[in-house]
Amino acid sequence: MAGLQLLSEYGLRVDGRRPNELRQIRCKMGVFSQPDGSAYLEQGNTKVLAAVYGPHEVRLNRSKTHHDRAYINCQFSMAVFSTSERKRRPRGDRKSQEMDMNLNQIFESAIRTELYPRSRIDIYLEVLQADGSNFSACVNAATLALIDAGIPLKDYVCSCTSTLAPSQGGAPPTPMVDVNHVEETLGGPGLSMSTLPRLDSVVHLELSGTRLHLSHIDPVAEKAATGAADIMAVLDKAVRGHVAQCLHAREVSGQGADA
Amino acid sequence: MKEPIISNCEKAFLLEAISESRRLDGRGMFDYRDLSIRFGKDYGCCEVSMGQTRVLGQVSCEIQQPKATRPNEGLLLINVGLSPMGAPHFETGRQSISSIQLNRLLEKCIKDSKCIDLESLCIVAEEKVWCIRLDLNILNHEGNLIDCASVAALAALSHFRRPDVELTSEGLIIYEAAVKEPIPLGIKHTPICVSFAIFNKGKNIVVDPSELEERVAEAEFTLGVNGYKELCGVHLSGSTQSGPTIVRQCANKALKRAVSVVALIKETLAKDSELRGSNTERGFVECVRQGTITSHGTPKICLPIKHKLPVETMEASHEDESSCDEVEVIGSGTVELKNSSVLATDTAEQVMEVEAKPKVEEISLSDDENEVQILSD
Repeated sequence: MAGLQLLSEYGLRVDGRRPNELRQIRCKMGVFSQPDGSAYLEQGNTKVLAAVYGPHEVRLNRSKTHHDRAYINCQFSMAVFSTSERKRRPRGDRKSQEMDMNLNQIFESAIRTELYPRSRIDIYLEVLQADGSNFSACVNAATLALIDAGIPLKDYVCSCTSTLAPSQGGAPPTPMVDVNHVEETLGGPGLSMSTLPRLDSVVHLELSGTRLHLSHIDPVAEKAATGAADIMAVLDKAVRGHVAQCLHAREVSGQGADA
Repeated sequence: MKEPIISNCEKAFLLEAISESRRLDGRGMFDYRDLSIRFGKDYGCCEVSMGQTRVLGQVSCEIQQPKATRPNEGLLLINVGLSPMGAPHFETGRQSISSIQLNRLLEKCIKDSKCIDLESLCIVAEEKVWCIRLDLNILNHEGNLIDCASVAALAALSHFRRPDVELTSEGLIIYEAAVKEPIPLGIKHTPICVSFAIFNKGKNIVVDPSELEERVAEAEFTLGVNGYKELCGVHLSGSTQSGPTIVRQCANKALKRAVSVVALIKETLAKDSELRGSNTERGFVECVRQGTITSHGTPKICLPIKHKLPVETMEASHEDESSCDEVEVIGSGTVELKNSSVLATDTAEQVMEVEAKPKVEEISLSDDENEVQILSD
């Protein structure tokens, strides 16, 4: 892979995108019957499933209740077949625990938890194919699943990961939005930003990978923020489409029954 | 044990004070607590305190097989232990949220940013490499654990020396410190974490939050910066408005702080090597004797001044240069006011500026009849 350039001289990335292009997002809500809300999201080749149970009563562990708000429990898991080498520990190792913790914090800020005191909302995420931006795809999928479950949110939680292509031929380094696996592993920093786009609020910010010079942080952060806003447009369209479909199905089956 | 719940009035009080740019412990919004670094007798042992928050770091090394994916690099393992000694709600063994957060953030800052030269730790590729273990213990949790832990980590790693080795035909010889001088680690850059607590929808940013401020804050923002103006780790938890501007503001402050902290570490290291060279007593025992490591040695009482005493109305036998009166710390909760001319009744309403001097040996109960004893409430 030596000589593989993240950004070619024509301004194309390894998968043929431009630096400010997102990958194709496909999503479907209400994929499972058991959970209260579920969603399937594809961001390029990254495929994620999300399931939400709740709000429901806390059974076993009384210590995990808050008297004034709901307790959010997120579990992040990567299927053993999701990466190129079989993953030995799908969940429970330190990195997954850190993801769990980050997801908990994000959704505690985004869900209107004060409406459900003493109850619990569980969010389960499974990565079926990991092709970069796994965390961001999980956040987006979880948002759709929460909307499908009917849990009130302050706003869509949209997440995007951006990176910085090294400078070539004297040009300043270019920030690129929505990284894939090659761009993540080959080097360069990865800035993951989760925002509530309409409220202009940032709920999570994380830098991973190599170091990033302070002067470059502004363009990279801006790129991630606009990427998240663009993703919101896609998710919004998907939600409205899903709701329209559901209503239509109801009408069709309800013909003949009492109004 | 569960974390104690903060009452609503405490929360409201703190938020109101922050909105007026005041902090509960009298610091300014961008004031840091006193940072002090003390090294122990062994190489790689260091205790850092930021105000009352204390972290102990210890570096050790052993020879192990390298990872299969990186056969010619040494190993660096970082572990932060939250023991119940630090705070009653910490549990041994269980990986709580804060423990995971601390561990991952330090790992990102120090390991992922390649701060230590791991290739120089290789002895025989694919067979023997040095495995450096950095263990941090939280001794006291008074807020801002991540900053303190990162300073302790960097100081311990900079202080550490590993034994010299030689590969001969018979095998590997590890030389003792007395035989051959041990070798320091190769540190490529110096990352330090700086934390900020954000209140009031991003309008008030506070530096070096105390424990209460951390728990009440809307968002906590930690930046790992090094001396070359590079970000090694960024973590935002909670929710705040206008993310990119906050990042920019905080980044500049964090950079200044990182530069001054690294300078302090280098200074303390230089002093320590001087002491070692001149063969004087050093280590934690010495720090106890000097009163710089125990809590009784540090000034505990801090009374903010409202207005100074008018000097002119005092009698002529008023003491020396200082316009404020000297107070001697006798023990916890008791101060003795040394002033020749103040009547007890006058000072009842006035709050005096106290300069508590850590005189551990001289807890003198002098019989000077001019002294007025004032017991603090």
